Amino acid sequence: MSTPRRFPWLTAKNVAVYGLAIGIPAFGGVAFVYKMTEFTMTIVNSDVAGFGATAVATYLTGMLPLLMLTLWAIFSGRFRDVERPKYRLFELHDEIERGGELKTEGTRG
Amino acid sequence: MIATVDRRPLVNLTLVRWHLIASSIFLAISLLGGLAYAFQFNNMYPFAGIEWLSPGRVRMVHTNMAAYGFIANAFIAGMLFAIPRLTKRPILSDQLGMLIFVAWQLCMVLTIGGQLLGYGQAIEWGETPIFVDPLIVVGLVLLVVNIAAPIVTTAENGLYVTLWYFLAAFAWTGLVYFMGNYLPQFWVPGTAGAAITGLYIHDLVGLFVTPIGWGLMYFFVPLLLRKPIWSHALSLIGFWGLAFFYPMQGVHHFLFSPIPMYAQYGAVVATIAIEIVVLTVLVNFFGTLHGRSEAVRGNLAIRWFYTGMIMYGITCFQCAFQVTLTFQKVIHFSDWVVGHAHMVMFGVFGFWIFGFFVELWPRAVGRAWVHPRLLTMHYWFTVIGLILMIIDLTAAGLVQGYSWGALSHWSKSVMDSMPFWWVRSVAGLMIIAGQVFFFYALWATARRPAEGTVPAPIPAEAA
Ligand code: HEM
Repeated sequence: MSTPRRFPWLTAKNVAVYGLAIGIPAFGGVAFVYKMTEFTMTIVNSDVAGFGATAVATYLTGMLPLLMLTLWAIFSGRFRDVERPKYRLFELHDEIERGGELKTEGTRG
Repeated sequence: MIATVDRRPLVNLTLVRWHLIASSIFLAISLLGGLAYAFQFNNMYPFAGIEWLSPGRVRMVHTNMAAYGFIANAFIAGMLFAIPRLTKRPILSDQLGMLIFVAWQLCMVLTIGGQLLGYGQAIEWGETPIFVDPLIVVGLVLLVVNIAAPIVTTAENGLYVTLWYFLAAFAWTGLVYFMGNYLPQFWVPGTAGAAITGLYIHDLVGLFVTPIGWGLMYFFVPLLLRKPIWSHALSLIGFWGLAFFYPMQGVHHFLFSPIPMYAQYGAVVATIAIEIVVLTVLVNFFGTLHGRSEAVRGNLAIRWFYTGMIMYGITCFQCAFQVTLTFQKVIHFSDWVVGHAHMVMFGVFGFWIFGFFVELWPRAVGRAWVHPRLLTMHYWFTVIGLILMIIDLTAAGLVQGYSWGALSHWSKSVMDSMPFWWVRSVAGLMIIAGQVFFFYALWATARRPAEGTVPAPIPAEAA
């Protein structure tokens, strides 16, 4: 009989997922702040007037709907079980491949 | 056929079929344009002296039809198939879908006509004539309304990563297209306008083609492997990484330009940051393949998908180097960049699209593939042809870059490039030969007598 592991959650997969979950926002975040700062600086720089302003404005306009969507998803509980949708994909697929008429409502995941 | 309670089919396969047909027609046009233009470099341009078929105009047709004709049509087909199946809701309106289909193809025809008659817009990737741009923006908005409706109204709780990618593409595409085609032309000229064009070029690849491409991969790959994606959480991290960090890297197309140096350095940092995001996606897909790798041999769609993913890994690896100023000194303006462009646009997204075709065409026409062997030949001719082209152009780029760096005479670099340009034409012919098998297989399959059932995916031994 194998001895129970001291840290059962310490699997290779968890290390990879959580490592990347922390590493990416940290590294990407620094790059992002750096980039946004320099774009903002460019706004007042007469050499390329307009470039910084347009880039920042377009970015924010494009990002806003996505940010709202993300917040809506968080607050409406869509991330309560973050792995659930990948299994639901198969349930839907199997139901659809069986043919006939669909049930009206989806299964709450 | 699966139907919703109001008896409408869940997936409008007629629309899927028409978009796939349009995609393949524009692929053919783009390839012929590319080949003709390649012959120009061998002093064998087939339309010499005919103004409306002059090389510069044909080049625009080649690139624009690859992006907006071939790739966009196939992606629309993929989304028309995937979205209803993920939401259990059909698209908003089938009639609107047909209208958008016709309007999109009209835009493409006007683009080809406009460009050949000399009305191409002088903006990289925005060469669609200025009078076609408003139509494209309206078309994009209508498309989004029509295919985002099921996502908004679905009763499914917990959106699958594919839908997140699509929503991001929807939020961005119209805006990016408008920004890239109008701001530099009318409001922000000069260096600032060029910088916006840089953002646009990159956003088009990163915020239109990439999210839809990856979204479709997250849909098809697990289903074909019969295995859920390795980590849904990781896929979402990759998604937000792309959405938040991608839009700001466009300036890396203009290293060594008059844009302030700190902005150029910023682009370098942001590009390297995105590499880590890329890594999450690759880890996830190869993690999913683990234990199912025999599918790469047995299932042609999976083989196309993973070949494209390897190409994606190589392109992004290349990017990490290309973005450094040291590397740029050598490769800027050389054929290296053209090799890179073909690797990403054709080697990644084009290959994924062939995978979608393998899976979707039998469903769209209601018949199993007639000649699976032809599809295998299509795979090998295309892959070998493209790899040859990439190696050739990469080497040509180095020869040119070092030749210019050594301040040799310009004509010497041209003479030194000639053998490489011959190899490119041969590689192009090989790719075109591959597509002849493919087009014949599409045509023959559509014409075979109907079987009445939706065919299963291509059997393992056929691939
Ligand atoms: C028969 C196969 C092909 C041939 C012979 C070919 C040839 C060419 C040539 C000669 C150029 C112009 C290079 C220059 O200006 O120096 C070009 C550009 C380009 N082609 Fe192709 N091409 C082929 C297939 C494709 C496909 C299938 C795609 C995309 C799906 C594609 C995407 C592009 C892109 C994006 C560029 C612009 C590159 C840049 O500006 O850096 N090509 N191609």
